[in-house]
Amino acid sequence: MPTELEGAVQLRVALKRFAPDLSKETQTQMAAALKTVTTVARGYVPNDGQVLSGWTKTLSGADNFVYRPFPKFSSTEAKAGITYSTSPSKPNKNGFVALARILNKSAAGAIYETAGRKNAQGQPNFSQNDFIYRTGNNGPGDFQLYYFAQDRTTQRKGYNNSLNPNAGKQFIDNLNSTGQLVNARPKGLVGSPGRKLTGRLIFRAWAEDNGRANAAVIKALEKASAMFYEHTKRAA
Amino acid sequence: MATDLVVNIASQFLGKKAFLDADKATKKLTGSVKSLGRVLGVSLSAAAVLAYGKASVKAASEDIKAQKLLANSLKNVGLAYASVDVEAFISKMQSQTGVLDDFLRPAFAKLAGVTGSVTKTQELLALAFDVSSGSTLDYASAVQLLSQAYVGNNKGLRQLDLGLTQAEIKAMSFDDVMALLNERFAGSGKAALNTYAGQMSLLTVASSNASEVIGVSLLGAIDSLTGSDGIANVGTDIENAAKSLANFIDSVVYLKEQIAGIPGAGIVKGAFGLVGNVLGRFSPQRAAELLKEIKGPQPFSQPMTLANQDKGRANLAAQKAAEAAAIKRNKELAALAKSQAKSAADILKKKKETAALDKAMLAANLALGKGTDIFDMDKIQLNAALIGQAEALGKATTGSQILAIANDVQRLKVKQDIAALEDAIASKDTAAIVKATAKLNEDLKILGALQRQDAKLLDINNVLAGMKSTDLINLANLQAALDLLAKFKFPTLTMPGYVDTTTKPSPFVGQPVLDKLTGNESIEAILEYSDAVTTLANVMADTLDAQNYNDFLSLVEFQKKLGDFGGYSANMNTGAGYGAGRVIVEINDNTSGLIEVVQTAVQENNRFGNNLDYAGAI
Repeated sequence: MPTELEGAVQLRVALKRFAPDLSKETQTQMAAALKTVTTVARGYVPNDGQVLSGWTKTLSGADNFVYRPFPKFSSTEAKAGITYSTSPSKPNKNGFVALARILNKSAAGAIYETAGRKNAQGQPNFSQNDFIYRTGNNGPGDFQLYYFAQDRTTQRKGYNNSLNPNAGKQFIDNLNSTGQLVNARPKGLVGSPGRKLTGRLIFRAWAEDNGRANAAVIKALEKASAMFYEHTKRAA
Repeated sequence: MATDLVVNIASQFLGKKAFLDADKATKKLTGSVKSLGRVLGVSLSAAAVLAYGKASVKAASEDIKAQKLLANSLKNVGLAYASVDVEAFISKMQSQTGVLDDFLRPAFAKLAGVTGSVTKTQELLALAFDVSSGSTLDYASAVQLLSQAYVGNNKGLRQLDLGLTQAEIKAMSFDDVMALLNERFAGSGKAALNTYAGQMSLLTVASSNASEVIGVSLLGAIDSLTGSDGIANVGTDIENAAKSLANFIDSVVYLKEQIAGIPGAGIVKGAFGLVGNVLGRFSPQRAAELLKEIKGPQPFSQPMTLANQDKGRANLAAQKAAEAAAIKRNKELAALAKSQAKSAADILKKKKETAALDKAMLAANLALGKGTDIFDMDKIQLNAALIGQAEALGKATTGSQILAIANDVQRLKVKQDIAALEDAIASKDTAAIVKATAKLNEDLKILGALQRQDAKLLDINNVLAGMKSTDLINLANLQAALDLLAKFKFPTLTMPGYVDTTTKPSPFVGQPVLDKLTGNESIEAILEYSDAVTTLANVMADTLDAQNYNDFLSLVEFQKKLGDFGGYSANMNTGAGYGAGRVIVEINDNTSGLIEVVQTAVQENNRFGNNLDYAGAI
């Protein structure tokens, strides 16, 4: 739930064009506020030894895979993927532009961040009773029903593909033992909280920051705006 | 994935601008599309015309091909004279029924091949339309059904659920089939045509015909354009023709619009309308009609040439010949059906006769069987032999003779039993077979007993008893034997060889002695003798049992006396072993050497296998 600031994007553009020093200073102030959150978030990344050992192992022959294998976990990589950005983003589908962002960019870090927030017990096991019934292919009038068992050899999205039916639960239990999922949605808002702002790293750090970083960013922008206004006023 | 994991801070809504941009872009795109549409308009029209032209040419060529195939089929069945009429009929029928000529022509060819008659074929085609409209069958299936029924194969009628049994359907003649189908499905086609689907099918026929007409014209045009090349380059020519036609239409429209913009050009515009009407109405067919009108009414549709007169006569003759052939074939089919019916009736009659004959034969066989029983020489001989043996038995004087007669009689009875069993097997009467088998086994058993040389008198008695009827038993003799036995005095028996001073002498001493048989006794006497021996043996056995018990009691008394020495047990005689008390011999050896001697003796005994249990206790 980012705070909406009217004209902030134009201000940033103006700062960069007419007051680059002030722009840099503003960015520095914003970065300082965001860095506290990313630092805390990086602290929540578990060590390699804390997660299930199989997740940290490199698959043999992975270079020859024609598909992208499940990303292995690396604490270093996950920590490096937690960053911030003070540049305005591209508009999202609803037309909003973010002036500053905290990102979790690594694949393994994203998995650690979100695993279990949709299915707390892991993805469901594939039910053998899932059959597809459809009529025959002999043209109009062929109403005979045929059933086809779903292909068990292919990957089934949304289902547990492991031979271990408890694999998902064991994985999530292990992650929960190293860090709990926290919803960063501010309290007091109307509506039920969704899972989109729930995570173990940046969302947890953002929630525990209690809006201080957000306030600092806004304050830095307002300050820059005021200084830029003064600057232009003097120039005029 | 990672892009979703973002905490956005201090955002700004720029959607308005974005939407405005999108609106502008959409308007721009719409304008471009409109321009493009204008640019592509002519081309698109040309493409549509081209596609329709190609389809028309294809439809026309296939139609011509189908016409030629049908004509060939008719020619092969001797109906070539009717090709023109058939085409007219098909054309008329498709416009009336909504069934495309694509289906009618193969159907006509099929039925014409079966019936050999144009008239009958037309009749069946009309009936097939009614049947297909009133049932779930399609037109081709209905035609197939009728063509099969025409030659006597009525199996297909079951699909129509006419409520007839399989036998009824099979027994129907084609005239019956026609009558039934006309009764059930008359008017179905008309009713179907009044529905929306029926109207749509008529429309389909109309559009198909239009396409074929246009295709024929295009083919003719292309043929004339390509000259000696024929329609080898038909695709290219059609395309060019269509494009030319489209360009021409566009040019006319453009010219019309331009002229309309000129003040005072109404006359010219009117002229365009006139030209358009003339162009729209002009066609080769219209031209032919105009020429016909100009020439005025002609006395004959065909020029009065000698060749055409000959052709007309030939067609008439062919028609007559074909109809005659069809009638002949119909008659043949009818005769065949009649013959088949007659054959079936004959077969049925023969079956009935055969059944009656079988029944009579069965009765005759039964009677013959009875007669055979009466005059069966084997049985007669057997009976005679049995009678003879019975007579011989009465004359027999010795036991060996009796035994021999008994053997012979029993063999005859076995022979009789075998014959009875064979009869029972032949009659397939299970109960009789079981009974005869049991009787045979019983007689074989008796025969076996007789054939053993140690045959007992009791067995002989049983055998003889079986040979005699009950009314032949001499009860008086039996009673006399019993009285004689009752007079016997049976003394107390003792164990043979056992001498006991305290008891009586042997019970067998003074027992009655039966004289040995001399071989001259009658059967009654032998029977009495054997009974007496049996009774005596039983009595002796009882006496021996009593004597044994007395001896046992004496033994017990003796053992009780031994019990004074500690060796008695109440159960010692019933396998329970000796009593607790034993005879213990103690040796008090005050001299050296005796123990060693005893021990050596015991060891030697052991060595030789005479084990003594208590040797070690010494």
